[in-house]
Amino acid sequence: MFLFCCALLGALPVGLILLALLNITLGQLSDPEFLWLVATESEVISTIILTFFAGLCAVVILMIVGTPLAYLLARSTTRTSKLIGTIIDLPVMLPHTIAGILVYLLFMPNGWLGAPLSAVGIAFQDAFFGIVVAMLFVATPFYVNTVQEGFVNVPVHLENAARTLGASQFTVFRTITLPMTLRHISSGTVLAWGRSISEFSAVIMIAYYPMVISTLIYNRFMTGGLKESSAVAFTMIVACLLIFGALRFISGRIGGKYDRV
Amino acid sequence: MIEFEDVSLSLGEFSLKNCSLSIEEGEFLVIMGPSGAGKTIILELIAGLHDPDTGVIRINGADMRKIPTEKRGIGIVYQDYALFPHMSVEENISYGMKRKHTPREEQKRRSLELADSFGIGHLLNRRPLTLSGGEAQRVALCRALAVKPSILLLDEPYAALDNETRRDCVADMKKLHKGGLTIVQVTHSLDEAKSLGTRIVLVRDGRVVQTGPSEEVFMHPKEEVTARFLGFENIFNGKEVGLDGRVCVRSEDIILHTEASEKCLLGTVLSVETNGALRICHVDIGTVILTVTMGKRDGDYLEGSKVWVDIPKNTIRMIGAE
Repeated sequence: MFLFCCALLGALPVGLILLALLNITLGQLSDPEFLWLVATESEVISTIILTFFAGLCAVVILMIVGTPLAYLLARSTTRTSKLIGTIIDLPVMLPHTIAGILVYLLFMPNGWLGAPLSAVGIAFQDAFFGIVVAMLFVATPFYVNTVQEGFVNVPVHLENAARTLGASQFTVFRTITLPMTLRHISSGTVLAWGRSISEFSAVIMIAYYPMVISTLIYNRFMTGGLKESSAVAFTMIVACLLIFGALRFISGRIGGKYDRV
Repeated sequence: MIEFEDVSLSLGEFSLKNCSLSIEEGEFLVIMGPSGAGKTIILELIAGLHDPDTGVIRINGADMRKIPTEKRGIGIVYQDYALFPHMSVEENISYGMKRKHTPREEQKRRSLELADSFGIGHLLNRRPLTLSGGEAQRVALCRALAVKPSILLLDEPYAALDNETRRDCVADMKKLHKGGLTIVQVTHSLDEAKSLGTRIVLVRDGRVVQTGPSEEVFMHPKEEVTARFLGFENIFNGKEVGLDGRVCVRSEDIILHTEASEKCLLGTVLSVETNGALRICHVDIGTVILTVTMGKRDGDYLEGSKVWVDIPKNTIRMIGAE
């Protein structure tokens, strides 16, 4: 009875998502010619590619700088590390328009970071790098928290035992800690990438152009109406399902045998 | 071989205070003490997994302050064995040899040789999660021995094993010790300490309270708390038996008689509990309640009955006596 109640309640959110997908799919498939026309539009295709690529850049940066940070946070019990953990969580708690303002103030041409970087030719306002930093800002907690949880699950004495066997701290990290955290790293990557490409508010504050897919859908909604924007949205849904479906499958396979403690 | 000179270390709320001890080459040192006493910290200090706040640790005369764990040549086996779950048994055993760039053929040969000597040669391709407690313990031991450590540290290595496996593992350790290996083991099992240790270090609240040869520590506890920890159930004022100061007696050393005999104390049986083949009596002798352990053949004593309590002089230990 309890499980039946769980299933009944759980069916609500799943049903809602499926119903929304079914609704848009049936709507779009009723006019396939128009859908094809929109989906093959060069602006739509290039925007989707740009969105995924900008998200990928943010994620790669996160993997390089976020993995060591997650390790430090997982292994440290000091107050400073707890404070850093809270700071990392801020972008999740703030409304994304605020995140956009924060990023814009910092990276605008006369901002603290924007000014010196634009002096060496790296522009953020209405530029690709602007999109990447906005995505990076909102995706950081998703990556760092997931990977940190993975590192916490690796018992410290496994690392200690490896060190007594002649491995340096870096070798221990490379051969013991990292392989045992692969599943968390891959799911953190997928989460952060997904969060990055879905960002709208923070991105448009700093870079309305070049448009990411959320901006394009909003733009089409305002200029061409619901029909045009739904066709773009449906194209993006298909692209997301294909890419994230494949990633989920791969991440389920790579981490599986490594992270059992 | 290993010397601790006034070593202190604070870790959160725990602190090890002015710990001084020495461990000779070829010794089997057992570190005992209640949970949270600081036993594991001492092992980890030897291994270099913590740096002391003050004091010096020397191994073979060399100050260890600048020597990282990986260069100390010390093997460690943890209570839960700390096997690497993403590697096979063979990869676990050869992990240390790989770090030392031992040729692959040599790694394979030595892994097999070690595994065979501990009866786990058939497990080399298995994953640690599929092993029983005893098998995992031997893999951890082989892994530590594969790099030929000069000192082997054991952190309650038999705690999770059944009695039969534990006996086998204790025998393995005795064999290793006879082979000349210096072993430092942490335990809170009195039986293990008695059967393995050539010397005992008693630790309590981050302090070394007593060190000495196994026999001496078990026979002459320096403090009441350590006496209790060492299995002396009866601690009382020596006046009861005509001595000055506090004394302690093991429950199995006290003899009960139903008839009056010379130098015996009259008492009343308060309760009798059965513990497997043993019976534990609580006897009130007026100023103190004694615990007496008896075999089934030692006669029946009913609650409330009068008994004569014989505490043989040679079983009475003075607390704090040198």
